[in-house]
Amino acid sequence: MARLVFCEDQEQIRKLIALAMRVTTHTIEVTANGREGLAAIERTVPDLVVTDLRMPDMDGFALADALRARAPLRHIPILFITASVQRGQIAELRARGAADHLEKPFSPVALREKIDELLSKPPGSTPSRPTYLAEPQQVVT
Amino acid sequence: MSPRVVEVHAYLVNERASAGPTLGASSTRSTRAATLGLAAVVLSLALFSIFSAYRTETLVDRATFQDTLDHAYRDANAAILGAEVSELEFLLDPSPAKRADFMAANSAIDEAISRIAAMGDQEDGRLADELLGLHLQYVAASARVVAAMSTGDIAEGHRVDHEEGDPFLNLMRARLTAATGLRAAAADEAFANLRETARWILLVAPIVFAIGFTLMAALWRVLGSYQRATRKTYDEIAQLSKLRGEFVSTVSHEFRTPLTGIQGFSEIMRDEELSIPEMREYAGDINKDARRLARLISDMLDLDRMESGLMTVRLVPVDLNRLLTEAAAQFRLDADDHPIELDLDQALPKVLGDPDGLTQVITNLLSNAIKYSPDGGAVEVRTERVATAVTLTVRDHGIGVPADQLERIFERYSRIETAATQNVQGTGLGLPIVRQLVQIYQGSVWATSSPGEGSVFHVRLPLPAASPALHAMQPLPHVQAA
Repeated sequence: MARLVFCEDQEQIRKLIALAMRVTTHTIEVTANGREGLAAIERTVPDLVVTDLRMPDMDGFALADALRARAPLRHIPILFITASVQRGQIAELRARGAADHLEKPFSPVALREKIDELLSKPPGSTPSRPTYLAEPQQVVT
Repeated sequence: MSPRVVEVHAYLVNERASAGPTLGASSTRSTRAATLGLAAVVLSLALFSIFSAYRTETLVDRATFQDTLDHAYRDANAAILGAEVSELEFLLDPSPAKRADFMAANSAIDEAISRIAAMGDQEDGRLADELLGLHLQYVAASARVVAAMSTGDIAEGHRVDHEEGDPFLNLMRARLTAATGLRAAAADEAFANLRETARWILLVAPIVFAIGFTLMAALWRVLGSYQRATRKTYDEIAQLSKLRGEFVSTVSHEFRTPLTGIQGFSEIMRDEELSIPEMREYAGDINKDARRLARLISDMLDLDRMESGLMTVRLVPVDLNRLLTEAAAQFRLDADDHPIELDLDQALPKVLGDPDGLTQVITNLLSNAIKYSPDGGAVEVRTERVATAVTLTVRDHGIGVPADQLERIFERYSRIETAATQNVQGTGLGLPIVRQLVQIYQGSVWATSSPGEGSVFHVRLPLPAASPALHAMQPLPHVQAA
């Protein structure tokens, strides 16, 4: 039983997420962009944030930065959903505090598994804070 | 360096290698011509310098030679005059001292003539021999004069001198004078040649220099333009490569979004117990995403065909107002938060086009207007007859387009990436398709905008009568790629 906030601008995918999470016991809130997402996160302080990268009105990166700028939200792991598979971008995701990422197209099962995996990790074991302090270029492999 | 950057570099190198031979072939040719010309001028300049130096040296040698001989001839003349004087003195005063002077003067003549023989050429040698022969006879006569004078017969001495000695002396003088004149003329000629050569050098050298300098300047310019052309091509390739990267990223994103829906909904339908209405609903979702994918692919293929000139269309008179009304009705269903206001000229004549293509033009312009108006806002569509054409304008109240980008938005893959647009979905193909289609109909499309207040897209389509060359039903096989 955990609280989750999702941010995704595509209506079809929001619907799919809600459907995929219907069979779990988690409490979810699905928002349409980073700004709405941030408001929901501040209100509920969830255990995990799942966000798309490209969104109007505050994208995934901006949302991650906003969370890190707020002490009570800093520890929340972020799972990015991304449509780009370029290695450079994945490295950047890691550098900017992604706990993990999921590539589109994803299956509902994979989404649930990834969420359970992240929720079972002890808090603070995600690389979100330490790697953010490093320069992105140095993280690129 | 990330692998992606490496790929881009490899692509650049390949592109440059393949673009190499075609880029500025004329440039290469003119460079070669200028280089060859310059080499020819430098070579002829060198040859001219060597020739001038050689000729100058020869002429100086000859002039010096003639001058020196001239002096020797004058010396000989002086010696003859000296002999005549000392002979007269001896005749007036036949003392042993005067006799010795007379003999010495004769020796001086011999020496002067010998010098001419030694310094001069063959001709001078022959003259010297003749002079020596004459001088021998004069010396013999002189001996007889001395003998007569020593016996005290002064009258006989004078007679012998006058009748037997003087003629030879006069003959020698005449010969020398003639030869001296010739020599002086030759020396003058040599100097004249020298002066003329100098004049030629003075005249030709600046011309050669001017030609050489001009060619060098030309070579410099050609190399400069070649360098600029290379730089420009390189920049274009770099730009193209960047656009390609952005396009791949955009297209990949556009493909993956509907694929997620298709994959996700179909998996849920497969794995979960669903009611029939739920099944229907999710099948509809899958269908919607599949259509979106299909549209994306056909857009890309259409644009490729149009840009490569392979698109063949049948141009027929089309009722633009009817197409607009239908498209607007469809959009009102799909995007009900954007009111579409139609202001149509009811007397609008039919335009020349193909109905499918014109529908695509209208759809792309409307979806563009809606896409870039995130806050809603009305989209105003207007048709109007203007002289021999029809204009269609689509006005939105969206984010607008900066003035310097108004043309770029019609180029393929060139969505403007700004903070305001980076999250708007799009392949960057809609407006390029509009422009290609409108050009096929012999019309034109352009945009005006004030950022923040919205944009207006203008389409101008010719009336059938206004373009007799484009009769209805006439295919237009070749459309120039933009």
